Amino acid sequence: MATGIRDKVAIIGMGCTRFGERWEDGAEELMVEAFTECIDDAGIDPKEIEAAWLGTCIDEINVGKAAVPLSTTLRLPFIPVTRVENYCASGTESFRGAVYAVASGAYDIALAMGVEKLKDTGYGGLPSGGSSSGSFIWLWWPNLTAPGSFAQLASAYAAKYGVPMEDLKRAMAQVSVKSHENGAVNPKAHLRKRVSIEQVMAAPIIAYPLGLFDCCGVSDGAACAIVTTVERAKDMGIKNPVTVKALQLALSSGEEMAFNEWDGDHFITTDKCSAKAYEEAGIKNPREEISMMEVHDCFSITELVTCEDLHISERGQAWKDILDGFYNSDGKVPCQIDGGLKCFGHPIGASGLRMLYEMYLQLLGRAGERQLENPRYGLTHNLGGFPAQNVCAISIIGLLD
Amino acid sequence: MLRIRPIMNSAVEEIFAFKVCCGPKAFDQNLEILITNEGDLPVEVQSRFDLRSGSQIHRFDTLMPHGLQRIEPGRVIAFYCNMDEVLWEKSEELIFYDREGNAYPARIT
Amino acid sequence: MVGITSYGGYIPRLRLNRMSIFQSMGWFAPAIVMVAQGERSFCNWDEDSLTMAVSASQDCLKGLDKQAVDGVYLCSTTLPFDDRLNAGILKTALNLKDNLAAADFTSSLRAGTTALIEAFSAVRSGDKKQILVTATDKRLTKMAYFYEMWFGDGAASLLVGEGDVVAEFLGSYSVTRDFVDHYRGADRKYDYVWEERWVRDEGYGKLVPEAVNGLFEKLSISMDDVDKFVFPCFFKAEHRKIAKKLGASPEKVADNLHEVCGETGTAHPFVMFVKALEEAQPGDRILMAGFGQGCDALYFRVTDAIKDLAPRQGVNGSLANKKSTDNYMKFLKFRDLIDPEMGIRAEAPTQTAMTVLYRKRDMILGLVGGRCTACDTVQFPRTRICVNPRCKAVDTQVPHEFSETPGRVKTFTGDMLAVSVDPPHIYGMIQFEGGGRFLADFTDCELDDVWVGQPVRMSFRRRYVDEQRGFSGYFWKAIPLPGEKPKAAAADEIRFDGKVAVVTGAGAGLGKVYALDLARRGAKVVVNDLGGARDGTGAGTAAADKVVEEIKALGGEAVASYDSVATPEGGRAIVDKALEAFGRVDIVINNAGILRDKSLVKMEPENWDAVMDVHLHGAYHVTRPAFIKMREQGYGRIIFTTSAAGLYGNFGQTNYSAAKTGLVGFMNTLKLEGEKYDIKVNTVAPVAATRLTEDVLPPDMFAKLKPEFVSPIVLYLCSDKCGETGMIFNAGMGYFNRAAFVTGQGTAVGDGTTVPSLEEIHKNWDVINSLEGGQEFPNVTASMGPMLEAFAPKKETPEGGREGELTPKAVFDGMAGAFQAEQAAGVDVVFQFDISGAKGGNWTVTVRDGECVVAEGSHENPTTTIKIGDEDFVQLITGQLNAMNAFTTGKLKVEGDMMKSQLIGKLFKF
Repeated sequence: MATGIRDKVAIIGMGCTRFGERWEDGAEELMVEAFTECIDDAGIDPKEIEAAWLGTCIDEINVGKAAVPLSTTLRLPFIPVTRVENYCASGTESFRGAVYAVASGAYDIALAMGVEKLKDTGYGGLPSGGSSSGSFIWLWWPNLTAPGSFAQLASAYAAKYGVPMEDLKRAMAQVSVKSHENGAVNPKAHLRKRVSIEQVMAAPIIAYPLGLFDCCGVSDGAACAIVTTVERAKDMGIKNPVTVKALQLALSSGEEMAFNEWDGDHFITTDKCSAKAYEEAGIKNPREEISMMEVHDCFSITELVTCEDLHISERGQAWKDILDGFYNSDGKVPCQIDGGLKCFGHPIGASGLRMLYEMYLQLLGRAGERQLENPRYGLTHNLGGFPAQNVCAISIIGLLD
Repeated sequence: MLRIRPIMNSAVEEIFAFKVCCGPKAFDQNLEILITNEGDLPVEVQSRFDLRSGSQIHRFDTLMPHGLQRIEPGRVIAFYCNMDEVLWEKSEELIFYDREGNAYPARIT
Repeated sequence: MVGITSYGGYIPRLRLNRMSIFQSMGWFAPAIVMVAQGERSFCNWDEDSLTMAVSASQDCLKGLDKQAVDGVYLCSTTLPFDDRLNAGILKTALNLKDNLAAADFTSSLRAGTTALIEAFSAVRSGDKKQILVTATDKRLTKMAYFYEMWFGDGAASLLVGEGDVVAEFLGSYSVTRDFVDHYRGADRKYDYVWEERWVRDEGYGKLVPEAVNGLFEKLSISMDDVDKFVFPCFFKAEHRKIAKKLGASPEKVADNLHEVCGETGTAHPFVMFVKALEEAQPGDRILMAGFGQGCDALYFRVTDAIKDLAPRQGVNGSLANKKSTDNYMKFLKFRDLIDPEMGIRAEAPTQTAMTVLYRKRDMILGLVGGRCTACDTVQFPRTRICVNPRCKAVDTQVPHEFSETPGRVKTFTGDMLAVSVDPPHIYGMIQFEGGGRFLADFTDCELDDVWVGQPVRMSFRRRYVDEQRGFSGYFWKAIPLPGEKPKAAAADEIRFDGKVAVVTGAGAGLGKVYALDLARRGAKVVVNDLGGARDGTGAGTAAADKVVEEIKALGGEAVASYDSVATPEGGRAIVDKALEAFGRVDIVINNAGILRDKSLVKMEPENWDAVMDVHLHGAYHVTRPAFIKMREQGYGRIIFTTSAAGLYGNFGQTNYSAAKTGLVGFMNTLKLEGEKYDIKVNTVAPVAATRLTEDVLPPDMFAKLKPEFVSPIVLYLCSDKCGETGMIFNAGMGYFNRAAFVTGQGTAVGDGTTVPSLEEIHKNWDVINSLEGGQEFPNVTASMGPMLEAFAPKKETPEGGREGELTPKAVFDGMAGAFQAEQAAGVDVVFQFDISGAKGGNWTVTVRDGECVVAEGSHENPTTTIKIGDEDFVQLITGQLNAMNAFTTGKLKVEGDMMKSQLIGKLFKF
């Protein structure tokens, strides 16, 4: 009988580059930057890494679709290296490979790396795949973009709960303002200036009702983690390691897009995925027990409905909780304490691991100005796709004791 | 009754340039002007303003977004443009106009 | 009989104002102004000849058995493929059967009429049963020349068959001569045109008459046997001249449609012909000609069957569905005649895998999805595993067409980021009627005119052009249908969502207006009407039913009730209806009423009783059960309808006046009984034109006094925004005022010990009669005030200087001392004093068995509770504040048994 992942795997080192427009560095250089910090933190020799996972999303740029670039860039010694992809949840997917590898007992120490070099496309925003996103889908899916498809969450949510759009926009604005506040004190974030609610609400519309500040930008970055079993971590002298409490994925069945029930206002995947994650971690009351979280704030409306899908805010109430400051850095459940995708941008393969990085630092008391008091459980939520068809990846980490 | 707040070298400039939306890129928009309608009736503001320094008036009409912007009571809109810092330092006030030509001056602090 | 069995038309929605072309390019080509009248149609950026052909063909085949079609001819000089059967794409889009013949007719502007002649031959020979002939063209022209002005884009479709035809085909005549008025070489984009004068004189001028005369001779007919002469010619004068030469009087000549769409190339003879059919009468004879390297002439007779043809968009419908623009640059960009920067993102690869397109051709080209035979779920796309999470059966789906299925917008957005020729790009989720949904691109709409819930229809459009390989790819898009956008509820709109209202007498007049207005603002309504005559006789269900239907039509919820208010059972049944249907009752508007006007002398008991029963007793019968429920709910709003007749008097209406004013009395007490449950009761005296006032009001006034003008105040009084209770309002024509019982100050006559004489009354009459300084009283107790006041002993102020130090506490400490035990016989009360303010507090004063006990605190069950501020209390005790005054000004509040509060003055003397 399967027993889940709780407290079987420890994170012994993490690294994260500065995110942003890294014109001088390619994907290779970014991977090395994250790796060196990570190895240093873990205190091991690179030779000790026995298996590695690479998470990247866009094949046409970056390092292409293969795993070999990780192996050659880091000069890994003829070990197994696998490339994984799961849309914008590729970072967590990479982590997942490494975690299960050591939990299975097949390897002692594994590396998970996520990287994306989006600023080589020549323009802002995510590239559209055209016929390279598969020979069938592009023949009939609409000409959609990320902002356009997520924007529809907002009008659906407003209509379902009778929230005046003005109030919803204000709540979304608060999401961004709060994240910018946090990013302002994070040296690794790209955008580090504070903004006001008014500036956010007055900004131009990208896809109604999302405005400029409701959308994250694309950027370059890499992040990585080294994991091992809890026993091995203890042997290495780490008394109270950061362990993985839960690691769950949920992918759309297709019913959101083609069946008749989904209302367009939330993520069925996140709702189910988080329930499984809480069960795996032994968390009964997420609103009380989750100390901090990094959610996939590609768009502020995503963060807003996710707070409900994560069973932290009641349905239809997240917007009020947000306006109450519940998710602020001094609130009950600080969300995006590092500044989130809003301030870091979204190098797809790296984001999931960047989220883990912040939770990791917080648990070890190394988050500097952003440090929260005695956090117990940190949750990361990494979402790929768009509301009508997506993959949700959730991890919960905490100290062993 | 409009409250006009210019923000020179606004944080928005960097975000604009970075996020890059809708095809044409937006860069060098270092002056952000927030306009709040504090009255009871909607106001339609023209996308231009006059900048007064001493007796000299400079007109700026290449603001983003372009065209008459309707501001409902209680709401706020923003205009963005590129502004020479030296000229700004020397200036005392900027003046916006609504559709009817009524002037809305704002002192520069 | 062989002929046309159906027809269809499609002119693209976009129309370019020709003057705008002149405004841009007139500096270069001033002469084009000559033909700059009206508008020309042009394709949206996602339309081409093939998509227009699909639309016209859909229109033609609507409601017919498509599987009976065994031939498809597509006619055009601008088809997207030189080698790939375009008619085959058309046939797949229409989801026709595989066992049919198909052909592209091309290379000449008369390909349409030529194909039509062939179709008639095929059907006449018995080889084919039904052939769909569709003609279409989207011709590119160079800027700033006449042809850009003359041409339009469009398509039309004719179904050829036998039997029940709407226009019988009687014969044709063709002339073929290599007269090259214009040509377009195989690899060229634009036509090469020769001199207009020559084209006119030697081409149209000679070839059309040759063909027409040939037809006349062949069929032994003349222009006298033609009611409508249909032939395209963009030379306006030549068009007239040819017709005249052939003996056709101007009213016989079909307009060439220059002003409304322009000349649509191969489609144009069909477009003009379809328009003629739309306007034809049975028996009309139509001559159609098509010109292009020769000329075809065809002759038809319209049959009776044309009257039975189901309505369709056709050409007239398409012409009416238009979006005019004067944006010439947009026109040029949509035709790729100018080259704006599309950005690197637009470089996404577009290679189409033929294997995939073939496997999925019915889905991609035909919008065919699936229906699961296991659970009956309709879904798009059709898949091997059913999408229903509770089914997931494998290989159970059969094909299901969506191209004609109506749908609605579920969510949508306007995306400024998506690569688009016409930003913002609009798309969203479409939910189909009967099930099924998918994320679709929208087209032919503007963002401001799209709303959630809007009906849409699906349209075959060109999705992309692979420039590198010369391939056009197609799929379906959603067109939001124009209509009235539901008004967004204003933030301050007063709504009744979740509230249940009962309106009696709601079948007509005021009651009906109340019911509709409440429903519009979200209330669920019980529409009660006996359905009787004005005098109350008779009954019927029609009146109430009709109003319920009207409410449902505007999207509201309502049920009908036919019970009479005149009996307790009837009243109870009306309220029960609300509880059964909706579970609660929040609002009752007592509006039902009848008239039995007679002067008192002639007023038999039956007429007096009938009016009482409906108006006064009826209100009791309905209000009582409703009130009981409202008490449980802790909320209620009740309206009584009174009348100016009752308030002020009206000859011949003693019964009505009595009943109507009786309701005011009912309200005065009911408001007190309802106060603690948030049940508010108010009365409205409407002045309105209804059955009851038909003969009372002068006719011109009658017209102005719409019941709609009364409704707003009634609804306001029913809302949770209104805090009034116990008020009377007049309302008529939009004028509102309040009526009330006002009591004058009056006077005491004598000292209260001697009975006043009549003479003294007479002497004091003016004062007794005066309303000067009059006031309203909220209840009977308050009304006793002046009387009691007038004879109350004067209160003495306690020893000087002590006032300032007197506190409520001191008063209560001294209360026992002020107790008048001899007045307390048989008195058993608990007075609760709640004194607010800094020096306040709570005291109970219990008077029982001739004794008085004063204690601090709050009693659980006091007889009477007195609430007053600390300073006011002291002033009251010291006689500086008059008790009744304090009460009527709200400084003093009394709850519970108010009568007992009168005892205080008797029991305690300070």
